[in-house]
Amino acid sequence: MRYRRLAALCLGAWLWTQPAAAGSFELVLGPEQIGSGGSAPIFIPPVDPFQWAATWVTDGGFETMLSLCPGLVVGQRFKSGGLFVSLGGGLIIDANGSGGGVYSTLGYESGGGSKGWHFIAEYTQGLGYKHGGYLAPSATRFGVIWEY
Amino acid sequence: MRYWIHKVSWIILLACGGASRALALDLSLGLAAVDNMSDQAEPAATARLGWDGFYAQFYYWGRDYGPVSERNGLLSLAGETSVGGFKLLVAHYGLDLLDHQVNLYGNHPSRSGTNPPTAVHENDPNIGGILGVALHLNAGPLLCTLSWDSHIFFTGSGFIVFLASARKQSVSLLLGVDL
Repeated sequence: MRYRRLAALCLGAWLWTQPAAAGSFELVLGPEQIGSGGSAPIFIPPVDPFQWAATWVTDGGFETMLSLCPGLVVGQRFKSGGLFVSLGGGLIIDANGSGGGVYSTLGYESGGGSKGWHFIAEYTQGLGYKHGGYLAPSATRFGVIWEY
Repeated sequence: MRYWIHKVSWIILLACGGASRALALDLSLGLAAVDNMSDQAEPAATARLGWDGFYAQFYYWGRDYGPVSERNGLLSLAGETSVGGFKLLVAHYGLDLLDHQVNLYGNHPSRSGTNPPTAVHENDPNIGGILGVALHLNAGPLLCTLSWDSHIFFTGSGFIVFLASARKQSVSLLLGVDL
């Protein structure tokens, strides 16, 4: 319990010290593939937590993705107009386990990075290692991004 | 197998025959690990022909288990664009053509015993798209490419209504030369 409070305190301190710079926040939804033999269809209503992902991107392109597919990862986003490519690593999560690994995302954002709300489409793939095998989740997602 | 050799050789001949001296061609051969959405990779042979920001790459893999013989041929036709200004790091996007063949008792009738059942030959072509990233290393005319790609295919009405898709992920290592 003491360590959870310490971790929460450290996270809060880190967030508090971040400068109020420009960046973006995206929320996307789409069918995932988590190593169980096929791509799951999109749920209606969208209650499957594996199909959601939230990503925070700083003005410098550093991104943090919170998702169950491919996992909890951080990386760098490279933009060219409306197209972007992200590369990074972190904790890769799959139906067969979890472990450290890398990820890549290729996507398109309408508005070309201008301020405001825009449509976003992306494909994310992960490659991770676990004892006795590897993990290869992926997802095709669509959603909205808020550039501030 | 002969079908795929015929198709790939025509593509290579057309690419070489139509190429002017100004085109930069490169040819690479290598190995790939192809995953079928089950976190289990199969080894594949792969060959790549690249020219001026585009490339054609062919994968071939298969296995025999009991009376069943499975063969896969995958042809990717894609463009490359550099990522973040790094010349060595590129992103891929393009078209995939897949042919999946299953033969039951067809190749080894002796396995079936004294009264062989009727052989079954199934051929399943499909079309899809490729998205991925690659790292190109050059040492003079020699090339080394490490490529991580997802080959995404349609699943009929399931794709249109529910966005369900089939994916083959390949991680390939190729060695080649600039022609």
